[in-house]
Amino acid sequence: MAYFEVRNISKSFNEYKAVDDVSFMLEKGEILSIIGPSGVGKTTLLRCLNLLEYPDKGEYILNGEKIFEATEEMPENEIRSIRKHFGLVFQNFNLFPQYTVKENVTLAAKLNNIDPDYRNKADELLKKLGLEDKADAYPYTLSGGQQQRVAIARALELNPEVICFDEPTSALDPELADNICKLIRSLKKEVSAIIVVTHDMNFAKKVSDRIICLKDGKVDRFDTVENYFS
Amino acid sequence: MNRFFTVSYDLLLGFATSIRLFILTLLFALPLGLIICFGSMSKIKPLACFCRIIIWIIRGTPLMLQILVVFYVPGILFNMPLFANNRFLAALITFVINYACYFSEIYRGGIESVPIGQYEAGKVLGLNNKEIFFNIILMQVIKKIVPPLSNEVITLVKDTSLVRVISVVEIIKVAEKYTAKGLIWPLFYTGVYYLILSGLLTVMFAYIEKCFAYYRG
Repeated sequence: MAYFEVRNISKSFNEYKAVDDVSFMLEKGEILSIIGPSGVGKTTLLRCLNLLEYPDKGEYILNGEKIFEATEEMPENEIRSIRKHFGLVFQNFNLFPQYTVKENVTLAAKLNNIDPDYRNKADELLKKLGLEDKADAYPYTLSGGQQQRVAIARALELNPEVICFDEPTSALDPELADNICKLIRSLKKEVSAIIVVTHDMNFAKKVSDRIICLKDGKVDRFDTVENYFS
Repeated sequence: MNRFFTVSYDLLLGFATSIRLFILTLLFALPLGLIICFGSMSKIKPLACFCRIIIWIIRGTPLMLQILVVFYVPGILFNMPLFANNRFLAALITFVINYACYFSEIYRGGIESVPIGQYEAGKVLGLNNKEIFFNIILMQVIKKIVPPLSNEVITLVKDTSLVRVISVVEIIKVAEKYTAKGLIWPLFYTGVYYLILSGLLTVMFAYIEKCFAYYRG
């Protein structure tokens, strides 16, 4: 049985169908890349997973349990509890400029008060991501690659089952793309499933286990990376 | 020399009224501005529309005219000269409403200038709207509104001189008494008082800006 399954997700903006009846599934520990040209609905699909866009229809099944089914209206706190299964690393990272690296990573854990050990966890994550000497730095002093790693640490701090990346290579120099590829693959130990939106075919080939190609909001092809590129 | 001190003291008493108006206006207009700001950004259309009309009227007419309207209209229209014995209160109410509207627009500009990604980053971290506003957005808004706010506050110092149209005795009104007696220099001398206060405010706002300079963005 698949670990994470997305069934029949659709999202329209007015009359425009941005995501049209998309379904896919992932085994535990797999990395899925969502590819396709610009404006094809990749990012909207990712935003639907995190419920930044509320899907018109569809459902998510995680570890055999239906965690989400699109209904007419859903209370904000229910949406928030579903979001806890997902982490998202934004294309432009969206770090909080007024907080240090460590404060960025720990803010949500501190407010939600779930894990009393959240500070140590943050230290571990920063160390793992090579940012231990940047804990007290402010985001504007960091390079793009470092900011991205802070955003990753911030997402991992909350122990999501699925972590999503929106165009992880777009803000980086080409040499750094290889590093982030290795980094994302190393996250398999931390999270159960990884979903990456990218338009960079080379990157998708290197990073993923499965590929889903979208066309006009629909699934054009969904396959393992070996089959897709053979 | 003796006369210089007498005049200085007299002007200082007048300026005390100006400062009282200044402080009370800030005290009430800063929070009221926030309420008007939320009203004008509200999803409830009639409320937003009402607030925007008020802002348009207040920003679209001279403050001096507004002072006259608040002071005279209750008496003329309803035969209730509410402020006949308390001209200062009429001036204060006008100033509070006027400045609250300007402040509300500064707040709105500050809130809207925070990128939507900051709200979304808060959301994906599982925070609720209140947590997002107070822990993420507010600080960024304050940093952005300090410069326009300091501008407005310094304008307020000088606008207090308008209240003499309804015979509230502030510093220029005091100076005009001397002018009527043939002594012109006290009128020009009032400028020193304004300069000292606005100078202090400039230093204070520069300090506040410096407090937020530790980060960018």
